Amino acid sequence: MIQNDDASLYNKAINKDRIAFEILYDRYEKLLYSFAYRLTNDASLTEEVVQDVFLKLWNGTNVYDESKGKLSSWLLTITRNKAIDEIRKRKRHTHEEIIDKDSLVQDEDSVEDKIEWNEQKINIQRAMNNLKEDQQQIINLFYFKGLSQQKIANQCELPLGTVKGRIRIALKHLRKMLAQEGGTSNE
Amino acid sequence: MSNEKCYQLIDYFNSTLTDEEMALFELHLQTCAECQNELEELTSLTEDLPYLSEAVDVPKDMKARIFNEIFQEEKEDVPQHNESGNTQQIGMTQPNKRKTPRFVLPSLAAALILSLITNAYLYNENKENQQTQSGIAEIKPSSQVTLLPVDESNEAVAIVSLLTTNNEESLLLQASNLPKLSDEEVYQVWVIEGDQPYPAGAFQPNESGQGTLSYSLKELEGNWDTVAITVEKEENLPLPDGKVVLAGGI
Repeated sequence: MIQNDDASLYNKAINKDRIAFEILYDRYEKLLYSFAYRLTNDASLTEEVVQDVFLKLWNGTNVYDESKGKLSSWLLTITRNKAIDEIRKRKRHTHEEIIDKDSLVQDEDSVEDKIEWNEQKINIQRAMNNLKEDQQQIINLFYFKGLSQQKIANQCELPLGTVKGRIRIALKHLRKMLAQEGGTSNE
Repeated sequence: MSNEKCYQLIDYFNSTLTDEEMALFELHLQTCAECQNELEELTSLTEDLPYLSEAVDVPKDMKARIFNEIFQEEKEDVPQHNESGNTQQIGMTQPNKRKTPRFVLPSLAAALILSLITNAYLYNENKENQQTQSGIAEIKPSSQVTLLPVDESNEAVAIVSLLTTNNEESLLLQASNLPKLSDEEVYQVWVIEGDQPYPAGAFQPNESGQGTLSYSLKELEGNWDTVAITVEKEENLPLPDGKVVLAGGI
C-alpha cells in the first residue's frame, strides 16, 4: 500500500509536484537522517547527505525504477552512497579508521521509543546479535563503514581473496537468522 | 566466469574504485552474469541493514534549511522587494490587486518557476542544437508573469515567461491545478496588447491538472501587457470565445 503510494508520490514529485515531494520528505526524513547519522556520526555531514538525497530526487538526478524495488530501499541506497563518499572525502584529511565497537552490538531493548521502524530494528538487531563477532564486524566494516576490500582484509586480518566470500557468508547468515521467526532463535 | 574483475565487486559496491576502474567494472558487469547475480544478492542481503540505525532526532529547522536550499533557485527568480526594479526583467503581478488567494500559492508558484526555468533551458538548448553547435544559448527572460484565477472557485496557477533567444521571442508556460476539460476543449493562451488579444498556443492539461506550453512569438509583435488563458472549443481562434480562467498583467 505504502509502496504503491510511494511510487505515485514519487512520480508526482519528479513532475515538480511540491506537495507530493513534501509528503515523501516527511515520510523518510527521520529514517534517512538516522541512517546517515549512523554512517557518518556527524550531524552536519548527515544533514548534507539528506539534503543531497532529496535534491537528487527533486531534480531527477537519480531515477527510481519501481520494478527494481521499494522507494525506501532506493532512497537508503542513495543515502549510503553519498554518506560513504563524504566520509571518504573527509578521511583523506584525517587519518585511519577507528573501529567503534559500540556500534557492533547494541542492546536491543534500548530503543523503547516508538520509531517507525522499531519492529524491523528489533528483529534485525536480534539477528545481528546472533552472529559471531567477526561476522558482525565484517558487516559493519563493509556496509556501514564502506571500506575497501583491502582495508577490510587488514582490519580483520584476512587474506584479501577471502573478503568477498566472508562478507557474503555473514550476510547470508544474517538473512537466515532474520528469516527464523524474526530472529528470535538462540544459536 | 570468474576473472580478476569479479574480485572488484565489493569495491564497486562501496565505490572505492577509481572512476576509471568503476567504469571498467561496469563494462565487465554487463557481460558477467555471475557478478550481476552477486550484485543483486548483495543489494538484497543488505536491504534491511539501514533499519539497524538508532532513531536520531532530526534538527528542528533542518527541513526549512533543506527546502530553502532545494528551492533556492526558484527563490532567486522571484522578485525581492529590496532588489532593483529598474528593468522589466521580472514582473509578478496580481490582477486587480486582490489578495493572494491561497497560502499554497507562493510555494506552488515557486515550484513552477523552477521547472519553468528548467524547461526554458532545455527548450533553448534544443533549439540551439538544431541551429548551431555553438554552446548553450543565453536565455533572457524579458518578463515573467504569474497568472492567477479570475474566478475564486478554482485554484489554478500558471507562470509564464517571455524569453528572447537570438532575437526571437517565445512564450513558455507552466500551469498547475487546472480544472479538467472535456475532450473537445483546450486551454488557449492569449497575449494581449491593450484591448487586442493574440492567440499564443493551446494545450490540454494532464490528468493531474498540469499543463505546459512553449510557443514561438516570432509571428507576433506587440508590447504585451497581459497574458490570459481561456477555455476554447478550437485552437488558435482569432479572438477568444470562451471564458477566461487565468490572467496576469506583465
